[in-house]
Amino acid sequence: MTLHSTVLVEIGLLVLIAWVIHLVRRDRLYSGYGALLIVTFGGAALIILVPGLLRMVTALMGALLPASALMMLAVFLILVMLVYILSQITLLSNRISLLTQELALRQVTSRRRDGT
Amino acid sequence: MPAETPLNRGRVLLAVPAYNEALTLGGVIEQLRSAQLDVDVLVVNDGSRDATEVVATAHGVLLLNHLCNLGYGRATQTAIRFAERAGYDVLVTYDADGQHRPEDVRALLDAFGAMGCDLLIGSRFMPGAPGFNAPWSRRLGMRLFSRVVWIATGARIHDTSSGLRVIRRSVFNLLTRRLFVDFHAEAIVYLLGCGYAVKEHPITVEERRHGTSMYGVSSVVKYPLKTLLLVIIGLLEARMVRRKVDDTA
Repeated sequence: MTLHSTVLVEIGLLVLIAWVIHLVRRDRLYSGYGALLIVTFGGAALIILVPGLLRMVTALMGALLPASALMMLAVFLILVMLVYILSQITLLSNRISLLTQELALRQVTSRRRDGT
Repeated sequence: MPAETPLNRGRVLLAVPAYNEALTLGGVIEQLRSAQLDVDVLVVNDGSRDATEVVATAHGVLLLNHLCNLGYGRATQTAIRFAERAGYDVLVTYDADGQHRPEDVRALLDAFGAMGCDLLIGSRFMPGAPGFNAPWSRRLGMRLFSRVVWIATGARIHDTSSGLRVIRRSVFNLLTRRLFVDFHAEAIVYLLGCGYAVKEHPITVEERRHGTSMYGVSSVVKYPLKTLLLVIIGLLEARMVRRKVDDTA
């Protein structure tokens, strides 16, 4: 990677980390997700910053160019996050369903108790 | 694990899951009342945006209100939870669109008592049933899932997606533990896999007079894939349930 692209990507990653911290501080992002994102972005920043690490990752992934290795890694991470986020949405949806069902059941019980 | 008291059916709850069925619900309740079935009628209003709640209240039936739409499977599950908590022995599920006939409920309850099964499905397609005029895509899906159930469990169930079913208390807990999206093939395979008895009895189903089916265009692709995945998971989980039961025995 050229110095120009390394600097650009590093700045981008730092901005992302700052944004995540800001969202967690404002309670607009769950701290668990925040930690996960910071570790991911921080890891990517480290790989790009340390030339030896980037060469090692490229060799490990069997890619010809460091940029291809980074792209593969990014796609994989995005897919992992997609599955994780969908599973969290499902979890929340299940919780809402349970609450809705429970509320309906409790309302009918109290109506019966009141005789209305 | 099969049913213990086949001839004594006990207290029966008839549940009608309803989503935007204000036009037909009143007639359905009236029909059920005039049939004098000796059952309590419960309407599960699944977050309807029309006057379904008003109609159910006006007819003085038991009413459970979902604040938002959760879908048919969840509405059925709420009815099962209610039946379980209120001490009912049998639950009948009945469609709110006016397609089912109260006389079939009576016949199903009689057959349920005599057969001693845990789930009895009112079947539109088994030998002896007059059949049902469904679109080709749905007919194909129904045949496919009848085959899937056969291959997975060895049981011949002709109508896996019927809304008219009789459920015994013995399986209430099992059916509320997991999410069954539509209570179709996935629930049948799960119950059969756990060792419960699932049977069919012929019924007649009328054409829908108002509203539209809950299956839209996207269901042609989504429904089979989703149900197939749930069937496989249900089969695996049923094996684990059986293994646990065998280990504790």
